[in-house]
Amino acid sequence: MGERDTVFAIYKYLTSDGLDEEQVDPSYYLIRVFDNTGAVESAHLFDLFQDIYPEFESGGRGRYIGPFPNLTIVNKFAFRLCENLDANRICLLSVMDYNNIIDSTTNITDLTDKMLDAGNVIENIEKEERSKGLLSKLFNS
Amino acid sequence: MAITTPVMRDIDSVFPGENWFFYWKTSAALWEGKLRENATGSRVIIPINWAFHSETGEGVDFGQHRPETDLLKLISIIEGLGKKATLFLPVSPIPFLPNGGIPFLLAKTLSLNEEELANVAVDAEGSINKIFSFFEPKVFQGFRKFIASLSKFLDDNSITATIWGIDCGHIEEQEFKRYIDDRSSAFKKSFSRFLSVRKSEENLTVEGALDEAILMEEFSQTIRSLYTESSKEFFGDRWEGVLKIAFAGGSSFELMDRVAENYSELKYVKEIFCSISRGAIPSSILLPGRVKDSGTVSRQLYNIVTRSAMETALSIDCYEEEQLQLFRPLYYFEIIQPAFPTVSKKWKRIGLIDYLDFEYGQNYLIREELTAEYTPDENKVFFFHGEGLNQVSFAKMLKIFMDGGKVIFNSAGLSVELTRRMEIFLIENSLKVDHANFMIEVKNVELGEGRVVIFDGDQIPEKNDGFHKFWERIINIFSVRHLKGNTEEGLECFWQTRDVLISELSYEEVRRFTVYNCTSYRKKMRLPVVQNFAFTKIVDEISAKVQSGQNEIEIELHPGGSVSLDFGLFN
Repeated sequence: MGERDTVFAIYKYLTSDGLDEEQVDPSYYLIRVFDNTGAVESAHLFDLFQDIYPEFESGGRGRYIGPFPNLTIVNKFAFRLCENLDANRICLLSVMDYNNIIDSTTNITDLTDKMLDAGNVIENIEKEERSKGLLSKLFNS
Repeated sequence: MAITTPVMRDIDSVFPGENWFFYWKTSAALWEGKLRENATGSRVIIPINWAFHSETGEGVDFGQHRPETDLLKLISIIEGLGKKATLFLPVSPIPFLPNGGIPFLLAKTLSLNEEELANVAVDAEGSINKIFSFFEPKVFQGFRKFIASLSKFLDDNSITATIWGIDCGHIEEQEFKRYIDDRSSAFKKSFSRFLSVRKSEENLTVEGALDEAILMEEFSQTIRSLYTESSKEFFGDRWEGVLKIAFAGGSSFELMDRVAENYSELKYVKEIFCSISRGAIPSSILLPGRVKDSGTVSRQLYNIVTRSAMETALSIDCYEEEQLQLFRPLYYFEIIQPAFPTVSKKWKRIGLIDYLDFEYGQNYLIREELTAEYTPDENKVFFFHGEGLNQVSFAKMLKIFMDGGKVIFNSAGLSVELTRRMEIFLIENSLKVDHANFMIEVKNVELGEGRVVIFDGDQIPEKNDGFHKFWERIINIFSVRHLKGNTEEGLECFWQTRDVLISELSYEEVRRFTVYNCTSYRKKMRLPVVQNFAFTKIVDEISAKVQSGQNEIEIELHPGGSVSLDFGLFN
């Protein structure tokens, strides 16, 4: 796995039941998760979700990660995901945030900056401190 | 993330791939020179750029004001160079133009995908092209106005070039997704009107998400056919039909890969083959130059797309000697899959697609309906699924069987009425039904050369590791003539077929096997030497070595290498 800088995650609030005729409660789901290497593997995300929230039954939504009953839990999971992937930060966006960014963007060069500006960015402080510690060791030794 | 703006060569912007000519990207004074120098083959594709001829959606210009809109001049130049001009009229949004090709005053509502994310595509220059809804009534009105003017222009100038409609899409999660499909507010507004009319006229009740999804698909189909039927109405005999075009790299998942400059040759080679097996012609227009120019992708585009899939689709009624030599994609199987929301998932659930991909590569075809009459073909097996099967498709399935064809029928979800008809059909024709147990009960019915294998796929347990074995036993019933190679990950293979020439009358058919090494490692593969397959020649051996032994043919491929082998088939 290469060095990950920023992970982006897009979430959505789903209200209706799935096509598989399985009734699910209205909840938040992560519908896209990607980083500088492309889409993060769904299997990895599912495994992490099951590890952290074994009490939330996953299913009925294909490749979407969830359900998360509220945004606080989405944020908590995002932070754990960021740590798990050893990324510097994770940027959470709603579908509406994402669409607004797309609407005002004409070239891919602007896209990541705009997403970072509009999204909820959670820093991986532990990783930052780890690298600071390493730098101070290098320069102070 | 590394971000650099790709620098595009002038010629790539005018000839973006597979002989498409973007006439609006250069001055009309330069058309002839560029076409003379760069157009290869006998055909030039001219995609009609609606917004370029009608910036606001009102007036239309075909050379009266701007010389670059003069289609008469362009077609004359192409014909003067001894080539055929083929017009492609988009009947859906197109991903390589801003606003999806809609004139800017008509581009009102951003189109959304099933996840309600904005539908976008990144073009070869890194521009984000937003797709706007084709479900806006004003877009349809503007489209009709435009095609009426185009038709009049072609008539007035006695232009005989043929016109194909193009239904643009991309491959996402192994399925062809159309850019016209939409879940925006424009779609929802029109859909709710459609629903209320259906409810009041037919006492329709909608229970649950599946019912709604079925109706949404029906409504989308209705709107798609409005665009194609209008085109047919205006262009009359000039209208050749609609082609599905799959733009490689056109999925919304691709957006971040493009930002991060993650270009995987293997991914695009797979995507291009997948497009062909989903009945679409692949296009490389959205791919950046560095991908298109890479060895394996560029060879695949030339040999499999430009010289084969594209020509096969466009020369459908042509019997010239040149056409006889044309290699067409080889399909061992045809999966007839109406646009019903759950059918593709159900085939996937019981492992059919994984099995075919593993054993036969992408040499199968998934299509929504059987358009042409069935002609007996001992090498082809048809798959039908009970769910969403209508009376017409059901009748076609029985006709294939009666005509000596091979059918695999997953009866899961078949309506009560058609189940009854199936029973009556078997009784009326005094057909003997043999029963076997391959994980579930499987019925086998034969009539002369015809054979149908019937089972209820919903009975197959959800989680099991026996899918491969199950399909192997089913497919083995049909003795499909295929050479299965022993391949490694990263080698992509494809089979093509053509009719025999006068000099090859000892064969029934000629098949071409092509393999690409999309990795940066040296790879080997073996093909068995079997009866009835005569290895005749090696073609386009690039960074590859072929050794033919008594029992097998060994192929060694260096990174980026490829080679084609021809086989004559006889009885």
